[in-house]
Amino acid sequence: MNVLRRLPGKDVVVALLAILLVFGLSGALTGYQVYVVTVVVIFTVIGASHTILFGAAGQPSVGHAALLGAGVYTAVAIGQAGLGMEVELVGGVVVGTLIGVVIGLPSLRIGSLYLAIATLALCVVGQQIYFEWTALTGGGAGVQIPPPTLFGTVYTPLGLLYIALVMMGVCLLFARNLLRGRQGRAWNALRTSPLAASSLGMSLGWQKVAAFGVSGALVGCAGVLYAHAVNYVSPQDFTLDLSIVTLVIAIIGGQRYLWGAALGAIFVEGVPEVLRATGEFRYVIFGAVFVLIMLFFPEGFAGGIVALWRRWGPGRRPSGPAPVELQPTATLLEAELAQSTTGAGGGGERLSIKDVRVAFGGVTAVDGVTVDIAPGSVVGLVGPNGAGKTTLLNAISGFVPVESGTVAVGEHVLRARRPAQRRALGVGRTFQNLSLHEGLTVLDHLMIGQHAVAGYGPVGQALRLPPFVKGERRMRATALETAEILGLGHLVGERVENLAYGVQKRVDVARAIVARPRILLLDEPAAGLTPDEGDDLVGRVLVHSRHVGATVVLVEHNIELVMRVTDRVVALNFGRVIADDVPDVVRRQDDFVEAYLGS
Amino acid sequence: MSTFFQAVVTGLMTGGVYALLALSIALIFKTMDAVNFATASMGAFCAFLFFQVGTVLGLGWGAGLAVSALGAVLLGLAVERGIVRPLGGGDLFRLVLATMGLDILLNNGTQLLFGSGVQNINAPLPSGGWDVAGVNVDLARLTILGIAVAGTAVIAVVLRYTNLGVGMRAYAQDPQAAALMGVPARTVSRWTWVISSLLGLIAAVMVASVSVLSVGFLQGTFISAFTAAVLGGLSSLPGAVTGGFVLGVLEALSIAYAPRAVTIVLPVLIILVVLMIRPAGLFGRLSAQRA
Repeated sequence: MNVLRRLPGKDVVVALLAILLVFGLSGALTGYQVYVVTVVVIFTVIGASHTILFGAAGQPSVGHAALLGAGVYTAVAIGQAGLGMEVELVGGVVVGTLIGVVIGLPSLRIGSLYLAIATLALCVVGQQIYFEWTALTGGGAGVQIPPPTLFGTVYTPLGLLYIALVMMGVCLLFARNLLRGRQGRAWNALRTSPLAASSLGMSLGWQKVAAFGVSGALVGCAGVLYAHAVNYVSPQDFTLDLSIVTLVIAIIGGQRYLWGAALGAIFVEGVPEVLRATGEFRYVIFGAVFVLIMLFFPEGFAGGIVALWRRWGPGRRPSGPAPVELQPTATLLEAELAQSTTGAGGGGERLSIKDVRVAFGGVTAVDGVTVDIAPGSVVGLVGPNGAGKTTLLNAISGFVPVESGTVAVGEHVLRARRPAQRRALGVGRTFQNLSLHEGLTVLDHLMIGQHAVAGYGPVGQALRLPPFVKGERRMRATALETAEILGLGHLVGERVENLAYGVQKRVDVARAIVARPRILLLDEPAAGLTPDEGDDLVGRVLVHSRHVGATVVLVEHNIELVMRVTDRVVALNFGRVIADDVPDVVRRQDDFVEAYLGS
Repeated sequence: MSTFFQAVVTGLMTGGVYALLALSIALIFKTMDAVNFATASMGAFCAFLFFQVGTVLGLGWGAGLAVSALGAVLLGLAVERGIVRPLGGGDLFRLVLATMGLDILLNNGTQLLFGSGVQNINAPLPSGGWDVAGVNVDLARLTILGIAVAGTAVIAVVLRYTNLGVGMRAYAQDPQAAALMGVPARTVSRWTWVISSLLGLIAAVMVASVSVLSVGFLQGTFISAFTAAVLGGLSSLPGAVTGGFVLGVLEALSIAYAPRAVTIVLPVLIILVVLMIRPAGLFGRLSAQRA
């Protein structure tokens, strides 16, 4: 999260130095070596496209050979029309983006595994189309491609290497900017926890379509460079194997890191050339190394290097990561709640649930529930296991379809909306079973929580415009403030998987409240915590909600806790409301006691 | 009309091979939740063993079959022990990717060991054919169909009636729960790969006996078998078999009636249509999840 430090960042400087180094050395290379280096550069860009699509958004694609072909043949077509490489590059990017978006579109309907199968189909059909489209591709005989002409100047292979280096720099900078900030966080969030991501206002399908589009743009650009690098292409080149090789580049290099794509490209395209002396055997070695890397370094070269750096480099931690525990401050609840203003303390939205019915097959989980929750109030939702509490929350947040009845936030009726759209109306929720983003830090979670209120879009982010810088600064401040309120202030840099359960629970809650939802749905926040921890967490959340003004629905089994902190208690049993009043009245109601304690 | 029946008969015969290989893919998918991209290269490697022992060394096809079956078993065990088990139940895509690596390794290993030539394995299949009401039934292909049906039946019986089969089905639904109930997870995983590998061998030898044997010769069949498995629902074994026969017939019909371009992209079209309309396939079920 060093996005806010002065630009350009350290990583950009390192990348520039590396590119300049290749520039400097390239004069001494033989013609064939220039070709190999150019191919490595091009495949770095293709690898980076997988870093975005697979590494960040979690979508493997084996259709990249067809995408590369699209870039190549766009270059061929534009070149035949007598236009220069500048037009070819624009064309390649446009065509690549379009095809990428089109392949991505099914993700609005189908899961990532099935989409991966669809990309396999794309790969096969793409190659067949190239074979059949003989006017453009020359069919099986292939087509010759003239040297590149950029702005009227014809370039030699060495010149093409320079062009490729510049384009790689541009592509990597673009990809890096997208990955650092709201867009990259969204991709990482939906990869690691689709459920939480959609509750935070991310549309899973469209995010993936966007990732496909960006990935396609990079490959389209690479295709144009590739066309000129190889001089001659035939549809035979764009096989499933090529697709797999491009994916292998990203994975073997480390799909979480852009620079991993460069390492992968060097290994996949460069090393077999170095191993040429070993003859046919080199591909066997290559395949074996790939399997070994998958087995022992699942995060690839880059991941391995980062792990070693963390372990042995400067700034290393003395001990391995033990779960980080926090001591609860049990007294906080009473003291803080007494101090903060009670009741409808400004802000918050009305939540009206009218005659809502939810059924799973023959089982009616929620059976005609009507509850009206005043703005700014804290309502406890209680009931025995299977009473329909979580189902009701799921219905409100749009995860399960409502059979009949309506849910309204203020004036807006929520019927049949997708979970992501509720975030726009200010509905936030936590999860009974933790739904955290593995591998990301506490601060990342708090930034992800503010996805819907970032105040800038992907374009502003890619170009690092002022709204991006301002938005990031503001979100970071809010994140740190919320972390402080929840007692996570000193843990913001910690990865969530290193935290103890109780602390993880706090992070889950923090992510839901950091964007200041107008309606906050808490699903058993104290479950699995010690009584002190539970009191502490719920107390902190309620202090925050009153501070920012939110309506709170608290599902919780700890009746004593609920009775103490809520303005009103709604009790469910067998999907129906059996009690709905202030805590002291509900406590004495006979059927409530019976449902809970038995007669 | 006889063109139609001819296409159906030919299609069913091709479909038998698809069904076997689809079964091999679906079996792995059902228990491991992963697609084995090395299915074709594993089968091809074993088919080369068959050819090497049976024809090149001249020991006859019986010895060839025995050695290649042994090879398939060992290969299945090696893959399970060397790749699948170390990867554990972790990230599924890692297993898929590892099988891609294995595919590269095996393809090039096969080429290194057996050369890149095109071979004819001269399988001992009956020649000639019967004429049934104007429809030609090729005896070699009919034999292959018979073997495919028999193989499928054996698998069905094993899965349904043996202890191992019940364990495999339990493991497929929930490995952890199965292990807690005393299903030996390792044994199940091991046998799944062995059976899948054997199915691959049978399919490879059958394809090679009606066409030729060369490195990567099974890739096309793999794509078709994979399509068949998707059509049937990937995790459904009866679905894979049905999908295999349906695809075989559809392909034969499109060769008979449709333009060439349609035949070429047919598998892809089927995959796309199935994914868009019914991602779970004909027989599969999408698992429900709770928020």
